[in-house]
Amino acid sequence: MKQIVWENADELVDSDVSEKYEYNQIFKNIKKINYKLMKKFSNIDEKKLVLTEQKPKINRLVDHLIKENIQVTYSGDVDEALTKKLTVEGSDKLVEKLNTIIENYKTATELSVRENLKYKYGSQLDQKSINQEIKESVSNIYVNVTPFPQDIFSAEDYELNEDTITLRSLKNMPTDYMDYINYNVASKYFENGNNVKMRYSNGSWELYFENNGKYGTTIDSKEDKYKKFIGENKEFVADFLRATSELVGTKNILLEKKLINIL
Amino acid sequence: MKKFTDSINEKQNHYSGDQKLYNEIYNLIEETLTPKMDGKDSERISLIGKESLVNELSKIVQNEITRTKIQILESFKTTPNLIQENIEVKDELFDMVNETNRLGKC
Repeated sequence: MKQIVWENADELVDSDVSEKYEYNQIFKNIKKINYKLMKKFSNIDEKKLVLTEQKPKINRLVDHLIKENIQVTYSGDVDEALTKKLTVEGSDKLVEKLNTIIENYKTATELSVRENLKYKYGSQLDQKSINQEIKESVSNIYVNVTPFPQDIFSAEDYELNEDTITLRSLKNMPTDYMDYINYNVASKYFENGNNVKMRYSNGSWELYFENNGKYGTTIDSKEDKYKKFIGENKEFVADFLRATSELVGTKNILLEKKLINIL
Repeated sequence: MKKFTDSINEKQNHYSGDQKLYNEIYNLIEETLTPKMDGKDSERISLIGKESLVNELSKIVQNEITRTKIQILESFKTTPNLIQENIEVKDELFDMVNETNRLGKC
């Protein structure tokens, strides 16, 4: 088998006609690969740009919730309703005031936590009792609101390619979320060199788990260990799917149709 | 005088009295969101679905409350000296909450 050394490649192309053809093909392929890589990188940059240019998280979330929940009703001529544009204004003001409410509640919460610790434990307050309090609190978080990718995953932990999102580790996950998932099982899965992939195919995102270097959908798989992983980390997997769909702005058909049925 | 104020507040409450957060958010929506027709106000248009929006927004606030609670507990965990300082800080916070409540009523 011939080994092509990059620096001498031009000499090899001139040496023989058949080889020349062969190496021209190789160079064409290299060009194609380079083009694909460039396309992928430019694609990532575009997505990053879209993400950075977006409104702050809470503004986007409130805008989304207004669209989902609020409707404008009209009474009058149908013709007028069809020709005129009906909109809802004031979401920025709503967010501004909502932030004030949140800040007030945060201050009140700080007081109540301190009071609770003082009167419940007094001088007996120790690491164990604090851990118990944290455990009780984390069970209430992330239940009702869909988290954003940056809430759960650090950019260092996942990779976004043209049609694939790969989650490689949970190292930078916030501690409160770590407690919420079955972190020991999940992190062991990643420590063993496995990862979780989402691949865009036929208009929907599919979840792939690695199995000895090969990827396959595990949704219909009979392999117990993957079902076990999903079963033990269903909130995590569901949030991963939600978060990645949010990241790429694509509706997650898998989450709606398949995953819910098996969980 | 107090009773009169209470009766006005009751009229403004869309939810029962113990659902303070829900009432606050409902009033906020009433104050800020307005329907427009071609960018203009009109008596013939109105908003529906405020209750479900209240429900969703209150989840955001509740989650922030829980996050704050966890952050404080974690700060105690990482800095044990904070336990000793708890009493003094608590008194300061108590004053802040009272002040916030007083301003909110004005």
